[in-house]
Amino acid sequence: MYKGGYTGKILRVNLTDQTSREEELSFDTAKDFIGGAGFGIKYLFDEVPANADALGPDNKLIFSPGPFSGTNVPCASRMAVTAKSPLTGAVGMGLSGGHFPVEMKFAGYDALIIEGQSKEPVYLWIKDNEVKFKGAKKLWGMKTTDTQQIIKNDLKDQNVRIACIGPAGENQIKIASIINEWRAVGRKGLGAVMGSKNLKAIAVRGTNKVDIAFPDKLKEARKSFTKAMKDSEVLYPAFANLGTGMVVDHTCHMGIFPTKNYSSTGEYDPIEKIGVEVQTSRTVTKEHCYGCPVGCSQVKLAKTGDYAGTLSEGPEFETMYSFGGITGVENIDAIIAADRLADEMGFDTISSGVSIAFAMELYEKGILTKEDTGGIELHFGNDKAMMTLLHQMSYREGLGGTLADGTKIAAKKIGKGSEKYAMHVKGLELPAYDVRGAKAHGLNYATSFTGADHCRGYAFQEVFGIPIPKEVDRFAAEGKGALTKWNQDIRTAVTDAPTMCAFIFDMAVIGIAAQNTADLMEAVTGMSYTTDDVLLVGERINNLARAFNVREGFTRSDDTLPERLLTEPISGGASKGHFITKDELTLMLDDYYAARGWDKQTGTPTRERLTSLNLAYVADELKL
Amino acid sequence: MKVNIRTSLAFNEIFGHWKFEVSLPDTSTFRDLMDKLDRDHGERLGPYVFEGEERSLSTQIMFMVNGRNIRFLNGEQTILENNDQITLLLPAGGG
Repeated sequence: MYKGGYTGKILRVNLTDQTSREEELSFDTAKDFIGGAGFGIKYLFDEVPANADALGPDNKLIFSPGPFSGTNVPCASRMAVTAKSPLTGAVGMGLSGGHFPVEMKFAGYDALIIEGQSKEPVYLWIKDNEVKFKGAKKLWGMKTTDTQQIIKNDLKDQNVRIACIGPAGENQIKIASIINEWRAVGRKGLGAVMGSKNLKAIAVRGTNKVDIAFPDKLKEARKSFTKAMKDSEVLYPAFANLGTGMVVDHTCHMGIFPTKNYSSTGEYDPIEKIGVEVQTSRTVTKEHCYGCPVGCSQVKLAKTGDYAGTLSEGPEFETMYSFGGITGVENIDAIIAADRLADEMGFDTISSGVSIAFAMELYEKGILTKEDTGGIELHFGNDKAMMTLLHQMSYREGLGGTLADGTKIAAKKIGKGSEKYAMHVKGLELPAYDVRGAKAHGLNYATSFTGADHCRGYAFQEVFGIPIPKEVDRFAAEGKGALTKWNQDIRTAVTDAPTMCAFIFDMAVIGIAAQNTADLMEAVTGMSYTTDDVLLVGERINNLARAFNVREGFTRSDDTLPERLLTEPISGGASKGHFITKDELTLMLDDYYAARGWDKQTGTPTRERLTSLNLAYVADELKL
Repeated sequence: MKVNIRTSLAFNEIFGHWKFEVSLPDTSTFRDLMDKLDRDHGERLGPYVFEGEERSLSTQIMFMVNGRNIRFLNGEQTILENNDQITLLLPAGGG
């Protein structure tokens, strides 16, 4: 019996036979994996068979908030969504905030596991412990905002919280996202998994409370957390008023804001066109996730030309990169409109923008011709061309159809040496940091269990100069293996598993994060953790995720970076001349596997390390 | 000699620009540069860039010369050269 935090119940839904049942959350799973990404990866490894078709009935889609979601712990309304990624074939896990995660807890569930495949489009209606399968034929083809509104109308409850897919997910493009409210589980094609199951949406309404084991202890733990937030040099007023967009200027100054498909980073510097000053000229209001006092999300209104009148929550920093820097588009209003289009159609802004930038470079180099583009002048900076391609991608039409599954697959279709310009790791497009000038960040891209993912082991030491656990030289390769392991493990342990906001971690509580997580776990759930226990949870999850990928055939050779980052120096700005040499990547990988206790030749976790993490059954499964 | 300076956030308001040049005597150090900027913009700049009675450079700011944090050069005694690119970044986050 759980004292607090956990509801103790998992909801398992089978779409093939339209059944559902409640299961008990195992105490060992709660203790060893905490929640969120931990639960997602645990169920993924245990339940999805090796080599399952990511878009077939054997893949599962797991929604898991954390033990603090639905309590008065600030910034805890997040959930992980996990499946095998159709984009990479590896672990597909992403997190989203908003209100849906706490509603799941109020409905009474620590996780929702969706299995099978419906014959017809359906949506799920979960009201507390009542589960209904509702026909969704009339919703099929609908954009995400309209989908949510029509479902609310159908259910005659405007307070229902909804996660859904748009046309992109329905058409199973491999960069499709899942949208809840205005938030997104953007990456790794999880929207395509939902589409493959003919599941248009999940609507949730809950009326329960989440218990607290020790309210007095929670007061103390909350106090430490909120004090760290108030003391932060960044959170107030900068981050609360500017949001992630300020990082455009920051990374431009550091010479690591990637531009024009990484061909002109630092040399082409778009601060005056799309930097934070221009962004704030479009800000009209802000949004808060449930229980967040900061409200970093800046809602912007496009004001000029064909884009005037279009509103978008964001665009966040990553999208300023993907629809701005990397495509060379300098029209802030086009970026706002593209962001809205991506959310409405339901696809990842990062992968879609990087895929278009890839095509733009191919066009500039003559590898793609006007015949290939259907008459579009696909030069860098052409915002109209970007909008056309984004629309095409949603429906697999024209050149957009070639790009709809990301750069790795597009390069295979196009051939002609185009892979050289495809900026991805394991099939996942690179996020907004030119890691030639931030090498631990690069090593994280190479080794993250999801592919090139800034949300796994963010090297804030390099990007923001935060000296925890120590100061590091961003241009050095030495010492980055152990650092990257630490970054991946702590972030998993204190944000992704308990589903706490990663921004608050980076900007405020980083110095006390492991202890504060232990304190919050004890106060909310009654379970005791040391700081070492907390970090071990992070290490355990990273090992289990790696084991999933090993079972799918991934090896050390997949832990790499695009050729361009290993051979071409950054061409201008504050990181000019820097790149990650192949020898440096080898050195960093060797150090990383050594720090992880993994086999250096194959990158496979060892039986000894897995056993020490209470994962001996995983070693058995991998036949180690 | 001249050095090129780039700044962020509140610094932009203090300096009036986010990108500007400063003239310095040859062989000036990073500390010399900061002292000059302090003389020119002292009342508002000082509290950001110095800390403690010894007025050492703040640990909250990223001070960079040609992209490298001065902590990995020679600290505030780093010798500047003509056309060096100096970056002063206030704490930022997100992304």
